[in-house]
Amino acid sequence: MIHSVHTNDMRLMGGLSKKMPITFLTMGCAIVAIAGIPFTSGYYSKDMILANIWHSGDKALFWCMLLTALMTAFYMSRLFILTFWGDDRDHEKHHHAHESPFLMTGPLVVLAFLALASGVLLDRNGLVYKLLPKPSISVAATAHGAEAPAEAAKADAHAATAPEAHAPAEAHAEGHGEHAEGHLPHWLHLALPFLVLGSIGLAFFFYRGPDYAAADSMKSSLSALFTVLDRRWYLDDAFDALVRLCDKVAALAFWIDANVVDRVFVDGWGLLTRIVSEISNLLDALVVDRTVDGFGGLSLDLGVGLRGLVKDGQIQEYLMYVAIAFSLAATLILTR
Amino acid sequence: MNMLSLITFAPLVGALIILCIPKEKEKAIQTVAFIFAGISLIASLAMIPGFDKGTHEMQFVERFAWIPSFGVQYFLGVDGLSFPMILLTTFMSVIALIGSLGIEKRVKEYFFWFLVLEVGMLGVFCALDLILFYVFWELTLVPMYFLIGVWGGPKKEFAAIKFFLYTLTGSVFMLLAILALYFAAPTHTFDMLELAKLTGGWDRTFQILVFLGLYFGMAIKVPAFPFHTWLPLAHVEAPTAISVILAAVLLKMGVYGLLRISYTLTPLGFQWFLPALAAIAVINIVYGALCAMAQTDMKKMVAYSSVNHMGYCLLGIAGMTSAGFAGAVFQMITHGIITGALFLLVGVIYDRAHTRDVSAFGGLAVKLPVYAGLMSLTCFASLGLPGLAGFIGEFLCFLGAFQTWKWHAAVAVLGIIATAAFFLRMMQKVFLGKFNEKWAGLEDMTARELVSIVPLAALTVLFGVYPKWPLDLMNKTLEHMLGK
Repeated sequence: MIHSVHTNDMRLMGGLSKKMPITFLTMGCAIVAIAGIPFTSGYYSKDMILANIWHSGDKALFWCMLLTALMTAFYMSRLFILTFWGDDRDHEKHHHAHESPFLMTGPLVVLAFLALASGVLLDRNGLVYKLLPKPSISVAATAHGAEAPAEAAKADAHAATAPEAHAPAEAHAEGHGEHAEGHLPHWLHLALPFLVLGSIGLAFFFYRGPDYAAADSMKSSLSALFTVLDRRWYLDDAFDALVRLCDKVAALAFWIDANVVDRVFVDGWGLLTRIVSEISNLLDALVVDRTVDGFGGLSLDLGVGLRGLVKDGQIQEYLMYVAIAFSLAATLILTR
Repeated sequence: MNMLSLITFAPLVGALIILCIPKEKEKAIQTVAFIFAGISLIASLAMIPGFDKGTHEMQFVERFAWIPSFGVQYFLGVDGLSFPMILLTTFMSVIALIGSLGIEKRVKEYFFWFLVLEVGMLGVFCALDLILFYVFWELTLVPMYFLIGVWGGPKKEFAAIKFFLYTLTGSVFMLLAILALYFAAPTHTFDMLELAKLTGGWDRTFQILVFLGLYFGMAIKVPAFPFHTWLPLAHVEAPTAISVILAAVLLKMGVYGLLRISYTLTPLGFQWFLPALAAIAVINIVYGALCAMAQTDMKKMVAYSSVNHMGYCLLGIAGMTSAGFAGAVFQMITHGIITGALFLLVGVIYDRAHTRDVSAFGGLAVKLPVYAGLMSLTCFASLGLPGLAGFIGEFLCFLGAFQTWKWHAAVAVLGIIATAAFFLRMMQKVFLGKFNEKWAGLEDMTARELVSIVPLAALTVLFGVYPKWPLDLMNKTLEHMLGK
């Protein structure tokens, strides 16, 4: 269907039975089977499950399962009706729709046949129990019977699978193919197909078209429920909010990384080093270098003081001092 | 034959030969680099059959006195802890050289510094003398400074000097600790194996102080929170091949040092620090993943994912179990392979599009199927998908740490979710969705890029499916370290 109509939305389909006859028929088979119309595969499997739940004693679970089975019949029929029945609601999509090639319809036919017939085939001569080593439901029921207090087992009059003593014989009987693990009460067994048909009829009544007044009025009267379901219990919103929160946290973490951790541990280290170096620079300038300057100043002062001893501009006097200094140095070096 | 010396110094010979080649002959320079890095790789592979997996003893030992008056020896040897690291280094160096073929600026200098860098990295993993170790450790800094500062991105000078100064600061404290150990030994030695025998005689306070000095140097390299902030900047600014080396090998030096030196030489200090180490590991994991999640630049994201992945290593170590240690060492190997591939892949897209902003792309899988496939494989490996190499390491780290640090492990698991989140979101934004027509002209990967990345991808799968071989290589040593 999706391949042909290019949408998943069944509200945009409708009236496709003539365009896609094979798909129409095979899907019909499948829907009949999954809804549980008698003698289709779905009927057999659901019947077995429901019967065993009935005999397990949990009646609430049974009614819950029955309701679910009926709902399946309802929504599957709705799918079928909205897709193939009535008028085309989207003319363009309807116009482009076409039957699928054999590669797709071939498997459909095989599967449709199996959907209809596998229940009957498996039920003949107890074939299903030859394929499955031992009915697992029956085992569970036996275990239940064994664990439960004896009086509870007795109280359940219909419990065919009760105390352990009976179990081997029953397993034997099952092996020979009859539904020995128990049927539903007769009235219920007969009522089930009618309930299913009623459910299908209800779907037909709601969705047959061309207007959907009944469905719309139900939707408006139960709008709160519809909204909750439409929003999928708000789980998607919750997840979205969680993701947004995580993104905020991630952004915060990165902000801390860039503005706090990096500043403190890298830039802070650098700053500390610079402060220490400034201090040592000051120390150098104020103490160490002052000492050097002090020596310079001392020699300058000394020079100026000595210069006061001589008269300015007397070259002969200068030469005389140089000669004295020279001969003093020479004497010192030679006499050493 | 002195295999370890051959492995360590072959690249140095190559570097000296490159100095003698005129700078116009770029092909010759590249060939020489490949030959000598190849010699190291082949020699290290040739050691595999001779390497005895059944002993914890040092193998392929070479020792002679170097500066006898101070007891400094030239002392090399490998065991199950260092041998995998040497294989990783020689292998990733050749891979990174392939990734370097795109370098067009100052080719001669680039390959010279690259080979010098390889010498330093290999020496760190071979050295068994503390001074020798320190020399090699520092030797990696200088080439890295130039490789980032000259061939890097827009803020290369700043990144280079930040990297250099910061890691040097750490190393200086490490040097102090090494000197303290030297003077604490009655025989005054720098021999790691000798010193390890003397630990019983040192009191707790001394060991704690020495440990802290060593830890400061290692933690900056790892990088462990809060000393990690140099890493994103250096990674982003470094050229692709250097990012690969930085992530694949240089970070491993820190974890390796923790196990080889801090753990064996100051056991009491290590024990004292253990609760803090576990906490730091968790912070690395969760905080690193969150920071990665906040990135739009793919390269910066991968850089922060390294912080996250190194957290797993630390967590494994903090577990003090053989599973945890094996996990940490295995994680070092797989992180090297996987993150190396990630940086190469980010480089591939940057070379074509000149942007790394995730939101600039979209639907690229249509146009670049091979690239998208390799990137997806690598991302899945990095986020720890079972069946790929990243999972084994992470799993072993958690397994090893869980017994001792249940709550830490529980919180750290959140980091895995965040890791998965940012990788998947990146893939979604870049590869899926509507194709951005702006990139209609992009070409898929070239043969050269495939040659550098496909071996990494193959190893990722191989180690993910069959981790036994690398684990066997290290098991005996790690068990001995734990006193079993």
